[in-house]
Amino acid sequence: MARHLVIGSGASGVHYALTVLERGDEVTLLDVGYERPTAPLPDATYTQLKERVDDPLTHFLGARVEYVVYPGPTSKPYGFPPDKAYVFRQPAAWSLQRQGFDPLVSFARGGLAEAWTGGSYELDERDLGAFPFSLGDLQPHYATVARRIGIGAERDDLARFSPMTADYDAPLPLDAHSAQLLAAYARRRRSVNALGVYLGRSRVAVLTRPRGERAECTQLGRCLMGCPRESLYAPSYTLRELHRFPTFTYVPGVFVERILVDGSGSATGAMARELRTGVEQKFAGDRVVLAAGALATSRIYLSTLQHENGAAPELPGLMDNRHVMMPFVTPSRVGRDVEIASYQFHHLALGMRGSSPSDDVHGQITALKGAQVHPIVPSLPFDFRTSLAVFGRVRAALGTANFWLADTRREANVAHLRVANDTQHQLVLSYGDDRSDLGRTHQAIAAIRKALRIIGAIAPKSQTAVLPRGSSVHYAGTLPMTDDERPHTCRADGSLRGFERLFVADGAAFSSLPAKNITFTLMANAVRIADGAR
Amino acid sequence: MPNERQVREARTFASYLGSPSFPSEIAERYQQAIQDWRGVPSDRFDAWLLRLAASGPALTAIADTYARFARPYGDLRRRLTLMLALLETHGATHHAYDRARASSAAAAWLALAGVGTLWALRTLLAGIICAPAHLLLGAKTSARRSG
Repeated sequence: MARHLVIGSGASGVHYALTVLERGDEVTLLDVGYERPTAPLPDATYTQLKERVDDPLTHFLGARVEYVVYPGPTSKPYGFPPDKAYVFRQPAAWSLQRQGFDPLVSFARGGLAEAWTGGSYELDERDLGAFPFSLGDLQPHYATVARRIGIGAERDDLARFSPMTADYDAPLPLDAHSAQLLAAYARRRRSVNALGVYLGRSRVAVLTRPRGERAECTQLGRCLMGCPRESLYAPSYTLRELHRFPTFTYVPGVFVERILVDGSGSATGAMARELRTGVEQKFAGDRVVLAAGALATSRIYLSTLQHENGAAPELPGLMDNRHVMMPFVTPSRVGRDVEIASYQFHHLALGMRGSSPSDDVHGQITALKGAQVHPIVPSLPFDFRTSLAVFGRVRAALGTANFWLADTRREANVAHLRVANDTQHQLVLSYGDDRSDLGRTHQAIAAIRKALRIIGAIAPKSQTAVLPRGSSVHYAGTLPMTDDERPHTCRADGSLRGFERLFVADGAAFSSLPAKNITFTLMANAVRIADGAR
Repeated sequence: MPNERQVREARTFASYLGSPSFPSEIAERYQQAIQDWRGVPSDRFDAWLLRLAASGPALTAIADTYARFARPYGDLRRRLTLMLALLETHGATHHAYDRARASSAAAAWLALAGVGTLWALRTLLAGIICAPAHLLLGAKTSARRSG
């Protein structure tokens, strides 16, 4: 029985762990592991919660009303509620310097996917062009993950971009606005497709039938706060499942500083610091698996090199999808009613095929339903009273297309370590090449704006925002899988060159970054690596 | 200890935002949040706009209309955002905000045209009332800062 030491409980870590536990291996999982609070009144809708919870102002806005989203030049049209604070909380030992790159990092149980919107898309052969394995090597693992988490999907025009080889459940019923847009697309498909744009149902890890302890979606409208029925998948549910195995040990409250390596270059365990006491602890394993997320994994790897031989290399190839947010209004829906208690996130998705894989675009379309009003109203070009009157009339007509461009590994985009002392290592992220994709970004914006217009929605130019690097929350590429024998890279099985028994199971090992949301692939790839780690 | 001026201000702003009556805890949280603001930039013109806005809901509309252009992220707009957040969250007041105003399309477009016309008139009035103060107090502030 092999002993696996897994670092991180995010999407990659928990699916790696579950795979090896199922075949009888032993797993110790090290984690900072900030916990999700228990959701009150799990069957109350978004509006019922405001009426029934003890102190709605504290629950929704924080004890000192600190979660209000104030107007500002970089304000977003939504805010995360206090219930999601655990996702973005950071330990004091984590230090990050940003240069043209402003990432979100999570140390929560379940990692960043505790705050995802569930988009789950299989990659195709084209997406995997830079990876040292074939689609056939990955597809069986999509099926495993889909069986574990439950994904609602429908076969439609998007199948040309994303295969459907796994077993999918029925998708959620469409909201009225999304249904109208999809019907308009069906009528005017040829004109939209002529722009290179294809529309379909988004594939979402939301249950439409009960699965184990998780209940089916009943449209409470509390998705952004964290689904109290657990219908929207989060990796912490898989972490809970891991506890059923007697060979599983979970060690929360520790911050992994580096990998322990013996004289022959074999990883033997990890050195971690207990958050509460600051005491160092050593953990042993036959195989050490980095699954802390691309950025934290890069830091652990760089700290290990620094400790072992004083090396302080730059890791080139940091990737992040270019993210564009395009709010729109569908004039024919002005004056319609809106169902506040409904699934809050996207029902529709879009795809664009570029001349090369790096030109591909993937997007998701969200119709506005239940949402906090105060982050939206001040952004309208009127006084509050007028804005509220306008918003009330047009609410059912508003939506947002979020779309992402593929990214490739480039030399100018790097991660490296700044060493202050033995215990203070700062990860420096520098995204030096931020302009080379602006041309294709603006081409995509123009095409998608036209496509929306054809199906009856208007996206004002002034409202479209090309978001700063780091916004996509899809980080990858610092320790890429490749067949080339180069330092700071992984083999196809996820093993790191220069070490024995040390594996990377998260996005750090991605060889390129497709436009499609990568979380489903992170999980499938972690299962693939676990499957090979016998 | 309630600050009477801020309680009146809270009442005025809530009324302007469509909730003339509201539970006392909203006013308490409103004051508490403002006390927590540290280092929010505010000059003499911001202070003047705030005084004007707090004088009554009709003047809040004038001050806010001008602030949307002249001080979109200023003190007044922040306070109105705070009040809106509190009103849309509390169980006693959220109904006015958690809904769409459903009607026939024609009625909706007609209503929007009416709202737009009122807004245009209010913008004109706001310019007449607020622009001189903006010129005067904004200039004094600039002079004081450069001095």
